[in-house]
Amino acid sequence: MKLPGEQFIKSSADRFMKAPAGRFINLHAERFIKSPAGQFIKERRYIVPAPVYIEMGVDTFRALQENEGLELPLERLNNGRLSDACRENLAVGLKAFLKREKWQLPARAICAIAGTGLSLRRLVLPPAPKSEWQRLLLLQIETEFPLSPDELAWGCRQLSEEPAHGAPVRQEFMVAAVRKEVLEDYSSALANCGVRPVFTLAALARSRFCPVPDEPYSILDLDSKHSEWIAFENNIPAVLRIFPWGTDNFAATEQTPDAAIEAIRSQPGRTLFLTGAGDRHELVAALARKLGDGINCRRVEAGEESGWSAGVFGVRQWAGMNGGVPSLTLRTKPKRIRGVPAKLQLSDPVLRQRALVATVLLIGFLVLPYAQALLLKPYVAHKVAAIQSQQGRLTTIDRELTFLQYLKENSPPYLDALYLFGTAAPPGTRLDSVTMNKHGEVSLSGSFGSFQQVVDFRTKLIQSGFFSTVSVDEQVPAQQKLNVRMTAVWKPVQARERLSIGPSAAEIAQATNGPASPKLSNH
Amino acid sequence: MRPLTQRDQRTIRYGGIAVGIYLVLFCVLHVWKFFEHKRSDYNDLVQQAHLLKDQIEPYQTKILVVQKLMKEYHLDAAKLSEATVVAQASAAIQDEAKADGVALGAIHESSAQSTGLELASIHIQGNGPVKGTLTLLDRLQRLGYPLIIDSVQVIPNNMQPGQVKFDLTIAVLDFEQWKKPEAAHA
Repeated sequence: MKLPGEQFIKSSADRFMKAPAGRFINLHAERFIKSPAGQFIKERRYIVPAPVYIEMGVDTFRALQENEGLELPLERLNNGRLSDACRENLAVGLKAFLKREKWQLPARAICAIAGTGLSLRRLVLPPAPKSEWQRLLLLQIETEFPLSPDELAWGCRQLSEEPAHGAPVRQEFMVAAVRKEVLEDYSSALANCGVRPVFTLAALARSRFCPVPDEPYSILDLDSKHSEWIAFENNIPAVLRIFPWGTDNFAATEQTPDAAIEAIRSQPGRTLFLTGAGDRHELVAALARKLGDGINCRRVEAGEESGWSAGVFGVRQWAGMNGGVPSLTLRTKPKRIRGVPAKLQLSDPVLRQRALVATVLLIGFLVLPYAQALLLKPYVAHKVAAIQSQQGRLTTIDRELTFLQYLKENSPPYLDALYLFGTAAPPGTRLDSVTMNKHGEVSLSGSFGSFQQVVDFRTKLIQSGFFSTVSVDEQVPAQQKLNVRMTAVWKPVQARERLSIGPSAAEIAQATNGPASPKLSNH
Repeated sequence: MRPLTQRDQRTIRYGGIAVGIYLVLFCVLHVWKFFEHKRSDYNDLVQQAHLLKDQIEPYQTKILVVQKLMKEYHLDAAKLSEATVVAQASAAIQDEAKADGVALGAIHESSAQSTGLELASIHIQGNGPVKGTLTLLDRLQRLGYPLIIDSVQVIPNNMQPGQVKFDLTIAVLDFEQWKKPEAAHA
């Protein structure tokens, strides 16, 4: 049987998962388990384990975590408290069932307890401000219950509506109380197994599981040797009783149920929900026969799996609504009425653990800057001193750079100028003298074939962009040639930087293979 | 001594608590001041480290440029000696000329000029093939010495076709000038 889906995994790669209460909790580790189909699948484990739903019946302990159930018999002493042997068995069984890892936080448990030794009262408070309710309620409990509130574990549920504008009006509460030791027994037994329990009434929890009619009704839950009966009027518990017979000894105490029959018949409710009967159809039939036609006996079963019961499923339904808090919670400390401020209880181990973590983080946050200063200062000081001792090298680098840059900027481009003369000179030109200095002054004398060749030569030199001025100082015709004296000045280094002078790679390759005429490329 | 009344005991208790609180606060304040002082020193140190970092960062680029130029000119000024650099440079020029097939003529060395940036000046006359002469011109500045060719004169050698005569004036830079802190030549 498949349980209603109450959790989903966002994706297999996600490290977060949504828990039943709607909180995303961090995935911490994975291990493999064997599925019913025989396949190995990843079992996901969380820092915050899945909640546990528990019914602490009169004769039976039932627990449900996710889809896994546990059922253990309970053995009680005459005063209704668990025997030592029973508590030991319970601890062993529950620990094995929960498989809690050491790194996991305690699992949250909603534990529905049986009505053994439990008193249920409706208390009416006189008109008073809300801040006074707590005090008045304690006074009423003192009056109505045989024990003082300090000796009781009790819880209450507000029955009347709250006044609209806070005006003091009569308030009605339903109060459930049990001896404090009973709840402390349960609480310590569960806490030893790594469970953080919240207690409520199993009889109330069962009402969440039954299809509640509009009219008064009652629920009879059959355990192995005891039965628990609760009657509701206007959906408010009116009577809660424990009968000393159950599924195992119903036949043996054939006469005993008559008291129960009378009690059920005396209630105004005509519908009786019967839970926990299992496959005991003859028992149900016998009970229905005894109740007669006036009572509509309806059987409600949670299932036959281990740990499944109406009480367990009732608390699980509670967990899914109302913020996961039962409408009536039993506490060993005075219950805080909604809206009434209460002191922060650091006795809760989880709260204490969180407070400790928060304190450590806060201290770390405050101390870290100082610790950093103390721990890292020697290291940083050593580093800074080492760098400062090397600062002289920076000056050396600066000087070397300046010197080398001076050398580069003052290296005259004699070869570039000669290359340009070579490429610009027409065939048949004879250069008699070339004089250059580092200031860029060039003096050239030679002979050309014609005036046009001189003009072309001069034009090419100017177009090269290398020279700022090119002038022909003297041209003297002589024997079919023209003797020329020219001067030129090349541009400063910044202006020449953009020029690309010299043979290209292709021209060098051609020159290597055979004769070629070099070209001037100007960018 | 009369026994202390409850009022006295309470007064003493309150006084003791007040003195205790004062002492605790006093100690806490001193301890806190001590640690705050340490933290302040550490912050100053970190600030100083950041300034140093900002100062050093541009030098990564400068070092690369220096390395490139040193490789280009085959020059490491730190290994040069002012006393011997002229002689070494002159010898290196002659070796290079020989390697390029260039015959050197008269070589004149003269001391520094007025600019103060030159250590000496070398005047060289020579004769050789065009290719060898051009190669010598190209390699002169890559001999590993701080040389700058001041002037060049090239004329054809009419006696030997295909060969040219040349006249070079080479300045040997005084690299020590750049090591002085007040030098600003760039």
